Amino acid sequence: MNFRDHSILMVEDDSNDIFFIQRAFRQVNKTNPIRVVKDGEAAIDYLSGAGEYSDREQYPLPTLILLDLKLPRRSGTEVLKWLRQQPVIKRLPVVILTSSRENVDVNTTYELGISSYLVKPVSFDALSSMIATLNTYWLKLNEYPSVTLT
Amino acid sequence: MALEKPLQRILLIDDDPNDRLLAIREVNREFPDVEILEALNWQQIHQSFAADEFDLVITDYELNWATGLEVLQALKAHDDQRPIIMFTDSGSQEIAVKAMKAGLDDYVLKSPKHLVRLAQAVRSVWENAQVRRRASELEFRLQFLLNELAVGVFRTTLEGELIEASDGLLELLHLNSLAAAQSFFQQNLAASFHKLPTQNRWHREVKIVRAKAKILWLRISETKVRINGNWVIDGLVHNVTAHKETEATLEALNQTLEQRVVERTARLEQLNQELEMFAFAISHDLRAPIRQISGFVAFLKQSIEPVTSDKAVLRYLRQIVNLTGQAGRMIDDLLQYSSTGRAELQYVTVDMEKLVKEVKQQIEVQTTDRTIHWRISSLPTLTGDRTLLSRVWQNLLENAVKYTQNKAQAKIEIDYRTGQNEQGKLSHIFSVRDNGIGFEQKEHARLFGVFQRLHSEREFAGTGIGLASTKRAIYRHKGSVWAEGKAEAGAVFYFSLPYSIE
Repeated sequence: MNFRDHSILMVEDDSNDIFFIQRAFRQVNKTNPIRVVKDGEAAIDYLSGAGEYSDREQYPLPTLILLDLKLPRRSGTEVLKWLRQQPVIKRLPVVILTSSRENVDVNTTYELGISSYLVKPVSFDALSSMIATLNTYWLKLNEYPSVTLT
Repeated sequence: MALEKPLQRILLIDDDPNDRLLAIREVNREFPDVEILEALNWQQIHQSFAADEFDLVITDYELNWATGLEVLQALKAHDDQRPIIMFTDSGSQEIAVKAMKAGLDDYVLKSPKHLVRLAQAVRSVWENAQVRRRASELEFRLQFLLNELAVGVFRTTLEGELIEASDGLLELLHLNSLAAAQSFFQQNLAASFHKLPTQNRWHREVKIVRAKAKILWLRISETKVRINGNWVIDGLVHNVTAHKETEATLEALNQTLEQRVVERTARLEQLNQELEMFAFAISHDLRAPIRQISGFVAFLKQSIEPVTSDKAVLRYLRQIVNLTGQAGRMIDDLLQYSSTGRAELQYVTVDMEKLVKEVKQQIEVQTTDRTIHWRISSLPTLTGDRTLLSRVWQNLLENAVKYTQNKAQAKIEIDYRTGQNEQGKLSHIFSVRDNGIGFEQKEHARLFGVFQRLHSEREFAGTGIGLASTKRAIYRHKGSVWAEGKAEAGAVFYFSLPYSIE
């Protein structure tokens, strides 16, 4: 897949954080799309192509999932657990981007299978820097699996 | 103790005036200061008795109106301890004997030859009377004391058979006869008499269970005594039941106290933990808003800076940026400090020398513009939590680097020795010495406080939680931290870790 088609699915409920992260991304990357869902249920719907998300032209499968843990309706961990049980799309890399660094969360998510665990830094400059690094690493360097269902 | 009572007045009863003169003369020869009162009939005798101002009586046997015996009896009726001497005629030995049996103290023959004995008789009778009086006083006092102290007195044979028992003893044991006391002794105390100690005096405490499970504690002091050629045991008995009960109550109270201390400590620990979790929850919840404020402030700055040159506005903006930065750092430091306290320790083998060198390497990346002379002694390998120990070294080394930043040639020395901690336990003692700005030794207590700083943010960056975290990390290893410093003359930070972690 051409890296130009790479897109990110951000699962995040806090509108301020959505604002910051998108802004930080735009500063380093104006091409690759970032789509946002605001709760765990919507994330599962998106990834399974249910309901309004069945149009894969408008809502393509992402190459990277940026997952917050504290979500309404279904938590990030539940989404992760669900994803890892799905055929094919279970290959999708997941990077946790969350506020807490509780040992419990870190270990549980790694156990379920994540590619990275990031804690939102308290200073915006640090967040910018982190997103820039994320962009370079995941959207430019990384090689992705195929997730077409045929 | 009453003093010797002096002989002051004698009552003389005699019909014959010559005999009286003679007697007076004899008495006054030995006792010049003694006053002689005279009574010549019953009426005068009774008057004298009533006035009661005489110490001793001398009476003739042959009176016209009575016999000396009758006078003797009358005196005994009045006061049976008052000394009395009688004149007798020769040939009345039986009377004398009879009178002695009736309580006469002495008799003197009324003849010129024997009259000289009178003074001597008075003296010896009076002295005996004094001795008797003192003995009687002592006995009274003894009885009083024994009663007040609730002490019983007894005497037994060497085999423990009760021979004598005082009223006090009977009362103490709630018995009403010697026979009852004897069977009591036989039942309860006989056994102990078979194993008498070798000394002559000893104490013992005996517990007796009586009817209705009532318990009696007796403290018995005994001594072996030889009376009239026979060995006996004289003893004193105290009822110490109340005392024993008090002891038992105290013991119970002590245990309750200990129990309460245990409970209170547990409760305190629980409260501490709750406080910890509360502090953590707050820090954690505050972090998000502070983080987001920081974000918007950054955007605000980006938006405003290009379009305004208002110095005040730009200054406000700068301050807000700084302060939110500070708040953010404090929150992160607090969270890390909290995790130092909460995280479970994972003991592994840690090569301290390797660890220090790793930390030093990380720090050196940020100090490429400075000259720092490092000296690291050989450090041991030990057991500990690697994460916490790494933080300790990071904090101490970063501090050393920070506070020598104004020195052209910074010197940082890391040493190790073995020693004893405050409990005398064998410990590893590490030290980090720098030649930086140092501190006043009297500020030592503040060094390790949470968010306590000795310098302003402007002079040296930092929130002041590093050393508090270090202290906590070391304390969790059951070690201790301390520091020595002098203003402008550098500082040494020490921490100890016990050899064995129990």
